[in-house]
Parts: sequence; structure tokens; C-alpha cells
Amino acid sequence: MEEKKNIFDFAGMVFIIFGFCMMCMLLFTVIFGEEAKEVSKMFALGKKGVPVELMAQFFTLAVLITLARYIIFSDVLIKRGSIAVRTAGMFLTIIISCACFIFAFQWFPVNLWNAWAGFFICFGISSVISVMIMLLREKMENRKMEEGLKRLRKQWEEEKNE
Amino acid sequence: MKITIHSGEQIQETEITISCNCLTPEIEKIICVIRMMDKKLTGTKEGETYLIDADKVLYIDTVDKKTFIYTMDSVYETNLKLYELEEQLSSADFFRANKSCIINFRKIVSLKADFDRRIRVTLINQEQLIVSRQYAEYVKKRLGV
Repeated sequence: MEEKKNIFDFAGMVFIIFGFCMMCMLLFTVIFGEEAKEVSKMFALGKKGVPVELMAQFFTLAVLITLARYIIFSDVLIKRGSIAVRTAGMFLTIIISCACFIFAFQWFPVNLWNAWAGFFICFGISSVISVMIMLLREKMENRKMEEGLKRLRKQWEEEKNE
Repeated sequence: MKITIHSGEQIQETEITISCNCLTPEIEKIICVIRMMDKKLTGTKEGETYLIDADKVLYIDTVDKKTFIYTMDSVYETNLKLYELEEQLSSADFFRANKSCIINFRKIVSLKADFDRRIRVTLINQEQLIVSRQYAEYVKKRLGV
């Protein structure tokens, strides 16, 4: 019955985020690599691939985001907080972390407004999709639990009448 | 402590008699455990001892190492530890919800998924309790989810 979070759960989550980021980066490299290699360090190798230092940076970011997720979505530091507040906190943490990495590692020139616009558009789209999936999953889970409870109640009623 | 057991075909109903000089906490605990066999709990409120039907209990929790039994209209204190109650009451559809609480499944009116794979349950008195991630799997299994 007991299922506790351990280091393997943490590592699993880190690798899910890292793997997803790498998959997107490979796709972007193939599509925009050649055009973007002059302006962005992320695409320094053109469409040949993803630089090793960028992999390390993405891995570090994945560790930070997972750590933030564990802190924000648990009662370790925040004792009381609604899902909405925690989710907003999580998005804010991700934006700030990404912005810090963009400044520190010059993923793209920081004075290029359209690069920032692209970042926020991509972030917005993926956030909306992930929130929608989360809400849908929650709705389905709630419906299944309610159905299960109804089934149990019916069973208890039958036991009572016997 | 002397234990005497009489058994015979002529005995119609099982009877337990405790003879003691005075009621010590240990003897009270023995009485509580025996009562639980009949799905009855012993709780105290304002110095008086009450017998509570397990199916009247909404949930039981521990605060500052003290165990409290909650019914629709009263709160009672008991000498038993939460794990002792959990063991005895599992057959009466009670389950561990978190480190400090066990809930009567039959008193739940609704369930809602909460963050971090926890479950928020609403009881018939509209009180909401949290089933922690560790124990949420059991609830889902019991619900057939």
C-alpha cells in the first residue's frame, strides 16, 4: 500500500523533461538549424545536431524544474495552497529559470524582441496544452472515482437489505 | 494477571468478566479491544465513557499523541492508538487516509483528485479530508479505478 517518493522517481521525472526538450531541440535543429546558427548558440552546429554544452544546460534546467515541482506540489514548504496558486507558481518558476538560462548561456540575443516573442508563444502554447491535458485527466479520474463510489454504495445497500 | 476460561456446550452466550481492584488504563485498553470485536468503540467525553457503534463513526484522527473519534455530532477521546484501531476496523470499511487519520469509507459522499496524486474526500457532514499519495492507491483500488 505504501508508495513513497524516492530518488528514482526524481531521476525519472528529470529524464522525462530532458528527453522531451531534446526531442523538440532535434526537431527545431533540423527545421531552423542552418538559418539560426548565426544568431543563436543553441543552433551553433546548424542542422548537424545539438551541442554537448547545450545538453548539459538543458539537463541542469530539467533538474531545477523537477526540484521546483517537488517543492511547489508538496507540503514540504507550502503548507496551504490551492492548485491554481501552485500551478501559477510553477509556471512563474519555469519562466524565470528559462530566462536566467537564456541570459547566462545566450541561447539567443537578449535584445532580439522577436526571439523573446517566439519563446513566450512556444511557452504559452505548451502551457495551454499541458493544462488542458491535466484538467482532462483530472476530470476523467474524478468521474471514475464517483462511479466507483456509486457502485460501492449500491453494494452496501444490497448487503444491508439481505 | 490471572486468566480463567470456562467452555462448555451449555453456555449460550460468550461472556467476559473482568475482576479487578480498580480500572487501570491497561484494563481500559483491554476493554476497548474486546469492544472492538463487536464493532463498538469506547470513547470518553467530558469525563464520561460512551460506547460508539463503528458505523456511526466518520473518521478517527490523532492530534498531539491523543486519538479522537468523530461522529456526526460528537468528538470522543480513546485510549487506543491509531494503528490498533486501523487493524481492528479494516473489516468495517475503515482505511488509513494519511499518517494521522483513518476514515470510514461508508461516510464518504464524494471524492476529488487533488494535486500530487492526493485525493480530497468529502464526508457526510461536509467535512473535507485529504488522502495522501501513499494511501490514495488503496482508495482507487477499492473503487475499482
